[in-house]
Amino acid sequence: MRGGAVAFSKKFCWLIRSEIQSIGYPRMSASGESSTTMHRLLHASGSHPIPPPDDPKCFRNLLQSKHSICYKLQHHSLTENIKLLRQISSCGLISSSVQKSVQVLSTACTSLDQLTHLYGSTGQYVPVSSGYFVSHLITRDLVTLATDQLRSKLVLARAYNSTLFPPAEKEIGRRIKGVKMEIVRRNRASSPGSAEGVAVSTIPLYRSAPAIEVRLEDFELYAVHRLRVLKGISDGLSRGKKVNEMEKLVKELWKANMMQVEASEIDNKDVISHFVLRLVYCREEELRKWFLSMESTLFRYRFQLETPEAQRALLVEFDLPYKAVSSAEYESIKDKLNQVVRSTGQSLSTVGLFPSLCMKVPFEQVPDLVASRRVFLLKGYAYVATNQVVSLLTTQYRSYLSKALVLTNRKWTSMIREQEKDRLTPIIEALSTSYLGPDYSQPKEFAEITLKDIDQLREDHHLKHGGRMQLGLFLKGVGLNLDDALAFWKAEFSRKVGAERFDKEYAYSIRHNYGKEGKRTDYTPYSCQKIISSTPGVGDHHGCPYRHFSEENLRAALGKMGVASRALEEVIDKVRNRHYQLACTLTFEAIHGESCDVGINHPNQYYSDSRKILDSKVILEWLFPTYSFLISYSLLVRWYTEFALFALLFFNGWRSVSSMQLLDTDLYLKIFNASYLCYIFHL
Amino acid sequence: MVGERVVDEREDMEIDGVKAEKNYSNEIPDGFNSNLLKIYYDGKHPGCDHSYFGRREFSFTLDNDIYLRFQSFNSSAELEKAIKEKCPFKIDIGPVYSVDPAKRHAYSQSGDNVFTPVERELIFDIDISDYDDVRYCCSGADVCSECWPLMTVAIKVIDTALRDDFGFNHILWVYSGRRGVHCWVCDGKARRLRNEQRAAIAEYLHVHKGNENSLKKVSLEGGFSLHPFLARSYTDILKDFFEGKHLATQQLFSDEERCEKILGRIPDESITSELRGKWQDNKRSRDDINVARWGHLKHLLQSGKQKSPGIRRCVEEVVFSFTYPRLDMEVSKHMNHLLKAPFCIHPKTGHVCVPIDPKHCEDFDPSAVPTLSKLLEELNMGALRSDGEDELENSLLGQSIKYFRSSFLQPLLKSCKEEIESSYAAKLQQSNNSLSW
Repeated sequence: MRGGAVAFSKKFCWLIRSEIQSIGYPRMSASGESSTTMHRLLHASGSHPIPPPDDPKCFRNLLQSKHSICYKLQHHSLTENIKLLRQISSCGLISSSVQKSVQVLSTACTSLDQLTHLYGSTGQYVPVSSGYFVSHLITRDLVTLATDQLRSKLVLARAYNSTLFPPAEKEIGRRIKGVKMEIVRRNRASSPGSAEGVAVSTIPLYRSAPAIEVRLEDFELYAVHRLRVLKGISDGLSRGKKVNEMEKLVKELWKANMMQVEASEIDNKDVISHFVLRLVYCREEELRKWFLSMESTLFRYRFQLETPEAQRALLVEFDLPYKAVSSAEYESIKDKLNQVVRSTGQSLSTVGLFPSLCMKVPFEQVPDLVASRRVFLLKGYAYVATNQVVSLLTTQYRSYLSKALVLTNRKWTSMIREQEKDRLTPIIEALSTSYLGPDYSQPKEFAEITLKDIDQLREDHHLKHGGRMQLGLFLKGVGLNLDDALAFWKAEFSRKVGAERFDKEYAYSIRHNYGKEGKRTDYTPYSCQKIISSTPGVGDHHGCPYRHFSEENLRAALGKMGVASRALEEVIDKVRNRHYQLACTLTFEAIHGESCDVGINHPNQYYSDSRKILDSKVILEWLFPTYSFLISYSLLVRWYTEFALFALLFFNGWRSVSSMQLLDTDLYLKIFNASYLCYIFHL
Repeated sequence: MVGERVVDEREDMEIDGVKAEKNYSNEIPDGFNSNLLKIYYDGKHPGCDHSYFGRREFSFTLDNDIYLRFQSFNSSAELEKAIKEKCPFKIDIGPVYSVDPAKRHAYSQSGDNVFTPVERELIFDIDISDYDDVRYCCSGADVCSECWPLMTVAIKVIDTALRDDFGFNHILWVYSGRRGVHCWVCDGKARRLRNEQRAAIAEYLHVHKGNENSLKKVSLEGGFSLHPFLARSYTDILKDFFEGKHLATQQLFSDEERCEKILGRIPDESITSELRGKWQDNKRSRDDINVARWGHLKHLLQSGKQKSPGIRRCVEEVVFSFTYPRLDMEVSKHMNHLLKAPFCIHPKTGHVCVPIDPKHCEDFDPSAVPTLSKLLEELNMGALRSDGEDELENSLLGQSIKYFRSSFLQPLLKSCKEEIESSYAAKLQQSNNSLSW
């Protein structure tokens, strides 16, 4: 790997397609070889699905002549060929000469290609070229992130850790004649920490990539474990947990997911999983944002959980260019500092302000403290107390990570994605979506969360931009197509602003939502977390009702939705404790009388779950629940005629119309009449 | 890096904008231009970034709301030509991007050059229409001498915070032409702020939290005292304005509905009922009813009986919710937001978007701002006078231009120049060092 001028040869492994399907993407064994000067055992799959071949001897003989393989492949039946290739792949290819083995194997592969051609698609085997080790990929990626000093150190002489080979396979390897194995036990001293001189603290700063080799299984598994931690943090944040609750949560999450048997493995796992996820989450702006804020939060709480010594060590490692405030300066601003402390609700005695413990930093370095007015600002400098230093470090960490993510992204789009097309790319692409919850960019079905918006729209025939975005995207997720959306908004807005002005001023943003204007992003509906964390201003009507409504307004709204008084109290209680999404889940359960285990994470999820329940009720009781629900719904939002028709189509679904054909006209008429009555009644 | 160019050019543009729309002869801008260009050419430092101005986005709004976004120009002459040619109703200024915004598609194909904003003035936008729930004289885009002082207060509060707390020096306040004010913070440091830092500043300056559906509109976090910034704003500016002026001009306690609105912000039922009773009785008082009622409220809330800081805080909360500046947060949070260029003509009112001197912002009268027609009139009257500096100074816009140049532009130019020189010197130093290696 020195100098990077290594010609990697293509090797192949074989996959059973059913396995691909069962896990969603190929899980494969890594095999390949590195420099021509190094002859190594390269097969590195610990838990290979295919058992070792029964007769290694026979296999060895096979390997000695490529002709024999070719011959056999060409003249055997398909099943026999498959068996043969299975043996090759499961045992790993071992040869005294790398070139030779490559030749043999590639011949075999060509043969298989031919075979596939001959027999048509067998539907069972998919050839996968694996150009590189996972580790090579990681190191290659990370080399670019790392400093130049690391680049020079990156000599991939270290082969796999012996633990990578299950005993059985090692045995096979030894038994094969002419194999020169270089199983170099990994030098513990050159673990990633010390390579960068970061070993002091227990929180790595992920400055550079680890020069370790990773099994594909671990590559994925570690990443999933870390993702669980990050997802837990994200859930905690969206439930509005307080600082001490979050601290506990992070501690538990970390313990549950990131612990390994061996101590050294913990560090490795931490570093590896971070870098894998960096690759996973570097690819889009939204993903980067999420990853960045979750990783920074993780860092913040891990730092707070550290011992003071470790914290100090980290502080030194960050090498902040800021000095403590001089005592003369401190005296001059003492009153103001005390005032800030009191304004944050702490008492002076617990904080204990001392000049030596107060740092003067440019305000840009502590945006979170500035935003929440927890520091004193003077002439562009923020006076940061010791117990706030974590904010400073988090900012530093965040900005470093942000830059690194952009770099990784560049690397990803320019090289890795293509090179790892058949191996890592599917894993990486699957990882990011597997954990972002259900995908609401596909048209589905309505939720209660936007009722207030709709209400407001009906009353005023106008909504400000934020509300338009939230409701518009929600309706899009529900399955409203562009033309219908335009018609819907126009019908509402034109009563106040006139059709002409609507076309001019508002139609653009609706088309924008659908990715037809501007930067042409196809926006997805806002998730609960995004809505909860938004801050609607004066005159805005959007936002999460649980978070942004006053208690009275929320009670009224829930009452209108038919939430019983006891359930209502529970909901209000959750809201008081700032568990907005739990409150929403409770409301859901109260309305539908069924439990919702996963909780509500997305307005569109609320809708689709509602619909699911309603669907089952339609099957059970046919007409009545839907009918009454629709009427209450139309009453609730004063949606009258057009809404009822609209809702009919959605609630019964385009697809189930045929099954309801007998009742269709009847239902249609009834609803039409009912909503017409509502219409008159309300006018 | 180099702010000098862009400042020059923007100045040109603003003046040109006025000119093009008024179909002026070349008098004012010409004199102005050549002077500026002289500074520009003379001052062109070897360390300056030549592509800087070319990467700045301009946006023209033509008749019928046709938007021309991502316009960019290599020189002031080009910009001037484009303005004369297209005669835009409105000119917006966007950020400086990493690549020429007009050629962004070409760059996006090459992959490596990401099209992203790299520098942008920190901007604020305050509209009087956001104050509709606290002013009773006008609503929407209308503004009168009774509610304009809210803008004055906003300028004072924000300007002080930007200067004293954040340490910015080059701040330009501009009348937006109809219903509000814009603020441009042009310090190098401000231009290079990242989005999250912008958001942090905006949050720091922002106290209005609730939306229409919550009673409490203002959240002044804090248990025992206000943050120094809020305390200063309250004692120095808001309190006096509210008690001395706003109470009476807006008749905040004149009828029951208005009273209820204020009482709704007090969480303690016993206090509100006591006040209601009191106000029922003394309907006919000799003092101004608003002042008297406010006195009652204040007395009751701040008397020794009330121990809870939450109740005592209500007085401040009411004052803040009625008078504290209401920022349009989204404008300030992101680098790529457009903002109308100073010295534009407002397309609806015809007012020139003149700068406002924050030191004398009380004296600013939006109805006295020169309009397009007044300028034209003036031009017709004085067509025979010789051109040059004097004439410019004496015109309707003279005061504004003079203020803009002497109080904003020149100090900014100076600091930009210093910045360029010091960074150039550092660069030279560095290259010398590497040579000696």
